Amino acid sequence: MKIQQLYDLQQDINRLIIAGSKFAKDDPRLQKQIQVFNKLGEKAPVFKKIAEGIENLVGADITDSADKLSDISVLLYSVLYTQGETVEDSTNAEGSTKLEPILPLDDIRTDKSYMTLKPVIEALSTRRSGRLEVLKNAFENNLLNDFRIYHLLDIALEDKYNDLADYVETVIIPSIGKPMLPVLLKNFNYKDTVGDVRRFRLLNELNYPKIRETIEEIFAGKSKRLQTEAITVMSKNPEKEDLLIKFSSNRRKPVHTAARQSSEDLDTANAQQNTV
Amino acid sequence: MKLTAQDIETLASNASVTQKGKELASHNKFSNLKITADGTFLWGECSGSGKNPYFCSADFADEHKPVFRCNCPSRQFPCKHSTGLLFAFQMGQKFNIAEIPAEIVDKRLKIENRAVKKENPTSETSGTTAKPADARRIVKKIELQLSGIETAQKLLQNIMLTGLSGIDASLNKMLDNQIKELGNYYIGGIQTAFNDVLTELRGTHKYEYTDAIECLNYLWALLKKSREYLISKKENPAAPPDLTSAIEEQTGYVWKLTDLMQYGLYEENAEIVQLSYHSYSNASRQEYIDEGHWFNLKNGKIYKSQIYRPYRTLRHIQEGNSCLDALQLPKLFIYPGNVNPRVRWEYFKTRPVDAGDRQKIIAAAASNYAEMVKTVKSTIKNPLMDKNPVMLLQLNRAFVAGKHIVLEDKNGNRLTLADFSKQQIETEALLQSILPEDCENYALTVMAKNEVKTGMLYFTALSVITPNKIIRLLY
Repeated sequence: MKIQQLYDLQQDINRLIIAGSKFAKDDPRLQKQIQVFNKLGEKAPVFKKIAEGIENLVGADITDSADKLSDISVLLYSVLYTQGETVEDSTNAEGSTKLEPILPLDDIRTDKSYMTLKPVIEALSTRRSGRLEVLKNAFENNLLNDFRIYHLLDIALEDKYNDLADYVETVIIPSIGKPMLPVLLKNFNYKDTVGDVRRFRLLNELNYPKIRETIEEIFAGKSKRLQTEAITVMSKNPEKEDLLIKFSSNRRKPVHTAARQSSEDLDTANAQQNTV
Repeated sequence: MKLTAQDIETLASNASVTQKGKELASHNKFSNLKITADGTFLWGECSGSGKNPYFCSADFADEHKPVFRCNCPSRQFPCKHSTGLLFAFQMGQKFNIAEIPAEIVDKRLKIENRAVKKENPTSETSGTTAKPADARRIVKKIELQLSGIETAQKLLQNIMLTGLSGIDASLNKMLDNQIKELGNYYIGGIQTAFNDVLTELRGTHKYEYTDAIECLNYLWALLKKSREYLISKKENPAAPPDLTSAIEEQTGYVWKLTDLMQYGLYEENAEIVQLSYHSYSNASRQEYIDEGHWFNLKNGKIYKSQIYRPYRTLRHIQEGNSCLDALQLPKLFIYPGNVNPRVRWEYFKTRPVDAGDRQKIIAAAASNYAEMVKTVKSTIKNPLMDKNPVMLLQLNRAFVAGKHIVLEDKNGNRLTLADFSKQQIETEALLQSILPEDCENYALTVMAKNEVKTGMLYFTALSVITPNKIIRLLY
């Protein structure tokens, strides 16, 4: 249970440390606290000690005030360290959700040492030169399939160094495969950015089961880059032909033109009927 | 001789040398590779950018302390050429058997003589009781330390009197210079604590001074206790140092292995397993800290190993590394004080971590969270104790509430996990991606983190221990 008086006192002590102990003498707020803590002291002696500490502080001359303020601050924080709550107030109110692990525990191996991973992590998270070379080397030595760097690979899709982002997209992530899906989805926000376009392409390539819903969502949104990419994806894939046909009658011109063009390219019986 | 890539990483001075050495070996830059018949000495030539190749060698006469030699100008030992030589050997490149060069025999002899000298020191240095001259020297040093502490105390009093909001750029600069001067008084620990205060103040946002005030409190408590301690030591300079707390180290004393040996602060034939490893940068110390957390298989205690690498001398200090094997140590040196005592060792052998070891770790983990929290609180309430003790928890049930993972023990006690950005530990998302709801029979290594600001005691996950493996969320 939180003892509010302690946190109130902390505010007062912080205020004095910020403003300077020279203002402590006869501080009215602190004087009120003496009574409060004397009363609490009837239950536990430590509060009595705090009350004495405050008394010493408000009674001290300016020259002594610094030491007295330090003393009471150390004591108060020591007590506060015993008061930490282990569960947030909102935990019970909001209710809980189940943990949904995206990787089975049995498949995880963390047998690569810090020295092995460090160059890879630096290559993925800094802006130094020679990073692509490090990644290529690491890939050849099979160092990249470690769940601790999955999120860094996802972030690298947004890297300003295009060749590096390309390499991550076309070589590294496909080699890891399905385990990357949840990581990609976490940061895929249907934004009009190169990063999201790369994520979308990968979702499609890794056979994300809800790719059709994703495509529909893309066309409900406004990102032109994603829409263009979605049409390219559909045009290469006869299974998604019905979606192309659907978007051929979209009211936005760039969408229906591209969709019709792509279904022409598909050159299946259905598509031909659609373009006639 | 058998050498694994992991062994070479342990011997290498840092990650970049390891990487470069590996490249040299895989690009076939070595020629004229030779090895002695007993396999204790390897040498060869490595082509560099110049006309002549570098001659490098690795001498395993003492298996635990190999000596690396190279005629390249690098001041890192081992340099990338010697490290590459080891990789060439590990990758199976051809080494011809040859006679050991005569100069190496001489050098080995010299090393041996030095070791013998070290083991049988002359009678002058072997005395255990302080002589009068020593006592005078100790008293003189203590006097100097005390005057340093007095200066530090005055500085702190001035800060408190002016108030934190009164510290502007010019005052900050002045304080910086004064703190630098504290370096002349053998009180390095106090100097660091002062630097912590200033670093924290510079990083303060939106008038949220709680972190800076915590640093001030530590400094004040440290000044008080070290003053008391040194005054009592001055009265009796021949008495042994305080071995029950970390005050010597906190004031600035650097324990030597010989000291620890002298005061019996070691355990014989210890076996330890690393639970997690982490390297982070500490701006106020101007250092990288390589920190490992270890489980003692004999007594179930958790230890800490720390390597400090100052920014200025990065290239010359060996970088730490994660250790995936169990270590067998003839002598494990244990520093005084603190809930996770700092440890060091000189010699070690490795063996793979087995199921029995993991079972021991899981069995030693706390199953009652309330009791564990009590231990943590009684530790961190002491102003001079480690504020982030590392503990082991037995897992029972886990779920997500709000942003955080909440753990629940069999009695319904709950804990909340969170990241620890100050120490650059961000593991919560990783744990969320692997931890099943029903996680009975697993253990979790956690670091406590109390936030006075929010009144919360969080725990930061470092690794998961299952009967089959140790999953490291850091390194």
